Amino acid sequence: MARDRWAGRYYFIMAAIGSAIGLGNVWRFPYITYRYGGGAFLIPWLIGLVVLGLPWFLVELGTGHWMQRGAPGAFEKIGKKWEWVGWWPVFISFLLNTYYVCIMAWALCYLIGSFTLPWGTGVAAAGTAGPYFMNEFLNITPGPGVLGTIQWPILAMLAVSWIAIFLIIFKGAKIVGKVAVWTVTIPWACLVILAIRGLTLPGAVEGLNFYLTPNFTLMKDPEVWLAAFSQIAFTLSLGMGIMYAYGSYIAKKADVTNNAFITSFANCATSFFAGFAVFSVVGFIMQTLACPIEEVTASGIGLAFITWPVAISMMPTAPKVIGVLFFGCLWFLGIDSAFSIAEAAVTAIKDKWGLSKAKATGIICGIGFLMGILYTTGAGLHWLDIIDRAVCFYGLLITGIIACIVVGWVFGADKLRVHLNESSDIKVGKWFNWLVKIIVPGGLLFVVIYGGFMQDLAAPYGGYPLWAASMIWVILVVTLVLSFVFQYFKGKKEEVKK
Amino acid sequence: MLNAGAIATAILGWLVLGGGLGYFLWIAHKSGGKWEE
Repeated sequence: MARDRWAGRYYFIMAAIGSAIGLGNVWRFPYITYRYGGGAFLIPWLIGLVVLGLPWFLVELGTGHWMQRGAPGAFEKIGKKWEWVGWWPVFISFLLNTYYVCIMAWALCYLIGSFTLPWGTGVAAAGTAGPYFMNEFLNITPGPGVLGTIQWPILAMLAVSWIAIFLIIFKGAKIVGKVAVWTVTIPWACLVILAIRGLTLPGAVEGLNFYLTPNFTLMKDPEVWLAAFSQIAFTLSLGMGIMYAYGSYIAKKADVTNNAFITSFANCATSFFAGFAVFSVVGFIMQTLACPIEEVTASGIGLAFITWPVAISMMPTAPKVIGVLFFGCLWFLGIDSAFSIAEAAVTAIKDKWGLSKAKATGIICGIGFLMGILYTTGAGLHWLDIIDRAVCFYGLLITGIIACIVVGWVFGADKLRVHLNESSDIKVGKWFNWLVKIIVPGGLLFVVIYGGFMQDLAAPYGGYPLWAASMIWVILVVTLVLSFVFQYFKGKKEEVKK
Repeated sequence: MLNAGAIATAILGWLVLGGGLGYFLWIAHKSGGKWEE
């Protein structure tokens, strides 16, 4: 069977951009920038992009392209004993997807809720949006040990989101690329409209001053560099096995390096732009409620499901339209990341056992939906937080470190560099070898140790009971063991044609 | 009103990110037929 191919370069680039751009571009980057020095933060962030993000991107995309396999198959071709290095990020990202799709389900629920604004109307929403999200919408339990009840609206939207993922990817890369054109363009359009609306609100300029004003004194603080490197590590959808799979669908003689550069810069430009939409609204809330920025700014779930609903309810005109636009934007931002993560797992099992694309997709989406039911319970947010720490922090970074070491030292960074240069418009210099061999693994290790491990060693993560926080290590060990188990399963080889 | 630092960040940020993206797209455009692959 001939290898599946993208319908063209344009479609690959859109799919890769869609995969890279996700919820984090809107809910993480603007807050991190404000907190770690405003405009000055862009310097370590861009340095991180060049020395960490781009080489890591090229390792994943280039290896997938050369081997014409998803992550496990690519590492198996480097050496049979290294196949587990490809399976581990696939397991890690699959677990990540189980809760990521649930957050998309929340966004769909809030999109529908935008027509009635159940979290409160007008200025009063500032006091009711938080309790609504926690108590009514999630029906949150006191801790991860008490599961509570399933929230049926969330479960229904979870099913809708997984069905959408199945329909997008089960026919192959050609359809994925064509869908990605829409799933990238729609959230871009929504962001533009939200930014224009935000910038025309009273107080917007004050918010932008907080977002953009550089504070160069913070540059001496190692925590700022840690935050910048972390942000780059998480923003490009690396360490998930996605780019191996996407690279494997690029034609043998097609460009790789410039595609990675275009994708990375489009992703970072989107993050920067999203900050204008987010902080103009933050300024609006500050002025309307006459409160300091510390009470308004938030990142992650708090920004999306508490701060923004408050702003939507206080909008002077068409709050329901803004609500639909914002939560629609979140869902579309999520869907192309989610189907790319699912694609990594689908490609891996398809390559290994020669399953049809539809069957492999059905298996992955079905299991993903069933596992996602955990997050629709009252304890869902607690488990989401714990599993996020295990997979999105430790998992992605550790598997990234190992992949760079294996590609850099075992396979040979220079061989990969020569391969990239054979088909790409931009030629990569020998500096690439040292970045892959030393700087990228070293930089990621720095983030693992000082960004999380030291804190988690001192006290259980997030103040959870020790048994619950220990699940972080259990998940990492179990997924690692599964990776070795899958390595020793006999597979069916797929013939690759140019 | 936006302060000078914020204006400078906005301009420089777009120059680097927008300019970088534009440059790489231009290189891709120059390669012509490779868009079909």
